[in-house]
Amino acid sequence: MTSARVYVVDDDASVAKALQRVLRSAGIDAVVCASARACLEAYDPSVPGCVVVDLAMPGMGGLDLQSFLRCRRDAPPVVFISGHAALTDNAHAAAGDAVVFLPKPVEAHVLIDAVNDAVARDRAARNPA
Amino acid sequence: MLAQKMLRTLRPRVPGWRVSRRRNIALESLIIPVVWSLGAGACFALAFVYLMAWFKAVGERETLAFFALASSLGLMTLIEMFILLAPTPEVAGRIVRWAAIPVLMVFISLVAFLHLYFGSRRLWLGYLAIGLRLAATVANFAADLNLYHLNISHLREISVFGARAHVPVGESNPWMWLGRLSSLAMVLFAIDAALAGWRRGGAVNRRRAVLIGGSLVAWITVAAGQAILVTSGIVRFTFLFALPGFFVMLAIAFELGADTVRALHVTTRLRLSEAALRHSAEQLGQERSFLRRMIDTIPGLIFVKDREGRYTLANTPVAELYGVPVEQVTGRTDAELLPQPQELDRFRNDDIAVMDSRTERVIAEEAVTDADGRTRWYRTHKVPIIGPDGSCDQVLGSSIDITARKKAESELEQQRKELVHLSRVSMVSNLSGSLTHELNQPLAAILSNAQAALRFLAREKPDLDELRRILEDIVEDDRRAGDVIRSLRVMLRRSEVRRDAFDLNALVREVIQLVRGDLLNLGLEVSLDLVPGLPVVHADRVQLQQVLLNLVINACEAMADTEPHHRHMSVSTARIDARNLKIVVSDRGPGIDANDLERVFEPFYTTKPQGLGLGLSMCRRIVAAHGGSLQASHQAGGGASFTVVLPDGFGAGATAP
Repeated sequence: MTSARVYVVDDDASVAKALQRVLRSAGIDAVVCASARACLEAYDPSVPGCVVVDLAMPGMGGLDLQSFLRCRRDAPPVVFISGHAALTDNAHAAAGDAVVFLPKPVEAHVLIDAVNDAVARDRAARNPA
Repeated sequence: MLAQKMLRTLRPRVPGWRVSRRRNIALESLIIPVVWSLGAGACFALAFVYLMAWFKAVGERETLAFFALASSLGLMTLIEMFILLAPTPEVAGRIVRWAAIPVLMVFISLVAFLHLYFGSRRLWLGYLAIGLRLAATVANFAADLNLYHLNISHLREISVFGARAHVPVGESNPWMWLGRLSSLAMVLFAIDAALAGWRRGGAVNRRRAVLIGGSLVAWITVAAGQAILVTSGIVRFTFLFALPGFFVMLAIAFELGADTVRALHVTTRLRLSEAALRHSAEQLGQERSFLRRMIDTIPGLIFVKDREGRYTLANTPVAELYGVPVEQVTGRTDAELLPQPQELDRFRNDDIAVMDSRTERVIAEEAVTDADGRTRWYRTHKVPIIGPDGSCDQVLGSSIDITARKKAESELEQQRKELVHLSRVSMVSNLSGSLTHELNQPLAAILSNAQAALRFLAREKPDLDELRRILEDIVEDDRRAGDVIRSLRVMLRRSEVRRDAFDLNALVREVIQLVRGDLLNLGLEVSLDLVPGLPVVHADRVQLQQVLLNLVINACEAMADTEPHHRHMSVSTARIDARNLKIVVSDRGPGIDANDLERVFEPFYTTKPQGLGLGLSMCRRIVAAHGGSLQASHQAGGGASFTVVLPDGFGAGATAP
């Protein structure tokens, strides 16, 4: 089973690094991207995985990133993290059902479960049984 | 001759004139009784007039002396008439004997008059004349007949103005020389008195000396000489005592009359002016008391001080200030009334400066400690008082009590401070979303880091280096959260105005950091154009942060309806010139109508449904208190732009806004 790759996208470097550490502690390979643009550049569609992204970022936000990724083949599942409950509700409507929204700060096991779940979905999408 | 002529012309008109109790009296025989009686009457009339003058108004003693002189002469004239008309030598002798009394009276009153009128320096001459005349009078009455005659042999007939009269002729009395000597002394005294009058100088005095003195001397000389000539029979004419005397009287009366009239005039004027003076003194008194009441009614202080600092005038409020009765203020100095050394020096210096420069001075506000130890505030106006001789030794002061105004001002200042604080608090509450985000970020990082660390520790061989890095990051994030809380606390603190030296660029970054949450929510891009190396600013950091936050939040809110891709705010700092720096906050919102560019700074002007409209007016007041300015303008590409200009270093003295 090829190892999955998770992209952690947050303009706040310290938050991104902390999330990366949580994922690594669970043995998940995580890459930090400082912006949505950086994520689009770094994204490798050949590798299964998911994107963990902060909803609110300067310039291109989490939802923008999602719509850009959807344009590509093998779009990865997106796990949104947001500190604003109200924003999350709106984003839900915009992003559709096939996404996960997590509150910020996020519990480690919640994040790990959500990511593992997302990666599993991506694998399933890539290799339909 | 004139009298004869007059009588002749009268004759035809008065037919009964010839008819008399005596039979067939010649008209000429009436000349002497008529002329002499007229003379005597005129003398008495003069005497009466001057007696009245003396009573009525003048009261001068020479007037009284003249009255005595004129009445004595009148008497003398009558007696002289009887001598001239005496029917027998015996009667003539007896009348001459009684003539001594009016002669003595004439002498006494003459000496008195001359002395009083001219002020002779040899009064003893006058006393000598009187003494000799007194002696002559005694000799007169001691003699069998009179002073002049031992006996009278017959009456010599003489002609006076065509009328027949008689003078007694007989053997001379050897004591007659006493009378002559007294006349001589009198002449000398008259000369001396006239000279004394002459020496007083002035045309009027000299004329009088010549006229009155001269006529008196001439009269006495002629009268005495003629008496000798007549009695000795050398001259067959009447005595020259009464009639010339009458003309001398007229001359004196003329001069004295002018004096009396003048004196009367002066007296009347004096009385009038006395009355006027009394009236004006009364009026002055009334006016003084009115003015006094007036200055006591004025609530402010009114006072006059002299060069020594003594009060020469003070109204009731001054006395109340010092807690003493008003009459105890005048004559005392501030040092005696109020023991506050600094205040004393200030008052004194101001007073002296006003007196020396002779220019008025306004002391906009000065503190005075009153009798109860409370501080009162006054606005004082000091004016130099310049005396008629041009010297300036007094200062007039008037002070208005502005204590209430000062109190209101300081209360207003306090309220403004509180308002600034309140608006800051309300701004912080507006910022709460943003601040939550700012706190949430480090807290989220800390939680994740800590949970990751726990999971690493659960492994058999924990990576200690990784754990250390995690802990370092936790510390860092905790600090970051602490910073947010600290700046929040600073903003909420009710701090007094203070001056800090700080970097304007750092302030801009901090403010942008604080509103990052809102910026992110709006998807708003901020471009910072901060010129490096700006000089430090001395200002109240919290207040300037408030201003900047206000402008940034306004810019964010202005772009709420702007197309998301155009939501762009720029904040720039720059140096304008050697003294001034500026911060410009620009947005791409709808901008401000040209008419409203100034109105946006008015209190309670707002375009927001929930806004109070105090933000920008407060900002402008804060910046102005720092000696700077805040202006709104329209951006060329649309949107509004706010420019804060601040003096660098120590600009104008910052006060509470």
